[in-house]
Amino acid sequence: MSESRRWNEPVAVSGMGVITPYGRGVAAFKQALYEGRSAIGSASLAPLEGSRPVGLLASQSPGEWIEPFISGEHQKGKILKKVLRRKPLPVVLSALAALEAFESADLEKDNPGQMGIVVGGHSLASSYDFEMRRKFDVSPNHVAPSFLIQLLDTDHVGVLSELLGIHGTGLTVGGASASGQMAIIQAANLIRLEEVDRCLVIGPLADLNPMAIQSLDAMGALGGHEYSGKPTLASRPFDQARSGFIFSQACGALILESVSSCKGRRSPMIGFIAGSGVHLDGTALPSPSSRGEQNAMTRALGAAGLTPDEVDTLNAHGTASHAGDIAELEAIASVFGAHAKSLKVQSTKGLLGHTLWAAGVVEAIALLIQMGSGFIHPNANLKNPIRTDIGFAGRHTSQGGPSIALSNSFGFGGINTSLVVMKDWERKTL
Amino acid sequence: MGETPSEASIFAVVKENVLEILEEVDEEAISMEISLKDLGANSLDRAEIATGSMEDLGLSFPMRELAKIKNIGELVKFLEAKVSG
Repeated sequence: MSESRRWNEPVAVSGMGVITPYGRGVAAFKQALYEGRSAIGSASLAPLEGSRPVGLLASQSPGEWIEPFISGEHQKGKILKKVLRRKPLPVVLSALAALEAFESADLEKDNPGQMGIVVGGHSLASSYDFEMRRKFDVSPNHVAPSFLIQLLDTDHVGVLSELLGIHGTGLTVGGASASGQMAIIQAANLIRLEEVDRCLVIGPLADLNPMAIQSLDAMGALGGHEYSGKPTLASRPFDQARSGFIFSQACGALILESVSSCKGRRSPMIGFIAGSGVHLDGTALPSPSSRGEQNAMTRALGAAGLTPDEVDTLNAHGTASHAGDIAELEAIASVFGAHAKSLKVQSTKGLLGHTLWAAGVVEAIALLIQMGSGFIHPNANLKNPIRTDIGFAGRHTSQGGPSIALSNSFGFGGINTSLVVMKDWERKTL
Repeated sequence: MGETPSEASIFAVVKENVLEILEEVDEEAISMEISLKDLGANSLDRAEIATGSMEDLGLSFPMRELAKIKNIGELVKFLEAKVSG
């Protein structure tokens, strides 16, 4: 390494990949965000009765996702088939999103030796676990001998390292709904510590099993029951008529890379992770804390060396939960003061729904897309905001993208994270 | 229930499981004489094939009972004995 990195030097984003209900790939996601198109449809969500607003991927079959790569003679088709055979859906999606990110970072031909993998999320095989339980109930001898391997969240790390030839560090980090952002934060730290030059970050599919869905419903977290006939209206972050979050499926991948590594291999830099903040509320409960959220945002701005006034866009956690949205807006008002009115506060969840572990990564991708293409996606269902002293993105797409943005993710158990995402950054010469 | 499955039908069940686990294997290569190892199965693959065959035949036994099985023929005969037993 030619020059030592400063502890708070921004880390570049050199690649991204995503799979959403809009389809596979960043281009499909970009198009949908630009159109302000909702990903939410109406479907049954076991074990709940009737149909619910939910954002479902086009296919729930791992084989169907792999098929185009095998039949289309993709250069990675053979290894994908080998590595992903019989793997549960979340692992397959992590691999495909990672592949897109890898290709977009032009890492195919590189030797990614000094590269790490950070997967954000937990209980990633909970549906697989639930399905295997049926075999176990007939006879424990019918449990697949490979069950334990798939049960471990690190199966994602193993599969990704085999698929992409990554031999640096690899780990999973959890943070409930802040998992994706926690993964970005930890990956950026690994780069700043010079443990790796670049790092693959995965926000994996939250493949909730029926018991988890039941639990979320019983605690009153799932919303939109009253919109089952009009599912696209169901996800209403910051609106007075919100009623809880809309569960959705997605998987995102980012390649984070040191600026010097990007420059060394002449890789384009899509944007920058310029600072982050984490604050624990000191609680095991799911209740939000405005104070904790405020601390996370303030720390992120401090780490990036920014004042609140320099932020133009805020991609909120904004799940449309009753108490959560109130707490977040209160935190935003405290951090930004009078400038809050000039912000464009948006929630990608209003279009996509809440993708849980994937959210932090997918929403960072949403910001980077908007920065790159110069637009602000709408808050399509924000008719009557719960506060009027805060500036929200409109109900239609507006031209002119974010330059300096804050992105929030808050998880059950008082885990608050905040990230500064910037379009441009140049090291100031001393 | 119908009659006890014949050796041929048990072989067919095992073959189906081999093909599911070892996607690269040529169907013609699967015979009573060959071992799963020679077909390219690692230890985990072998356990998966045995478990799948057991489940498909409605049997239940611990995997360690298969410790001395040397080839597909022996596996088929073992399963046949279990089915008739």
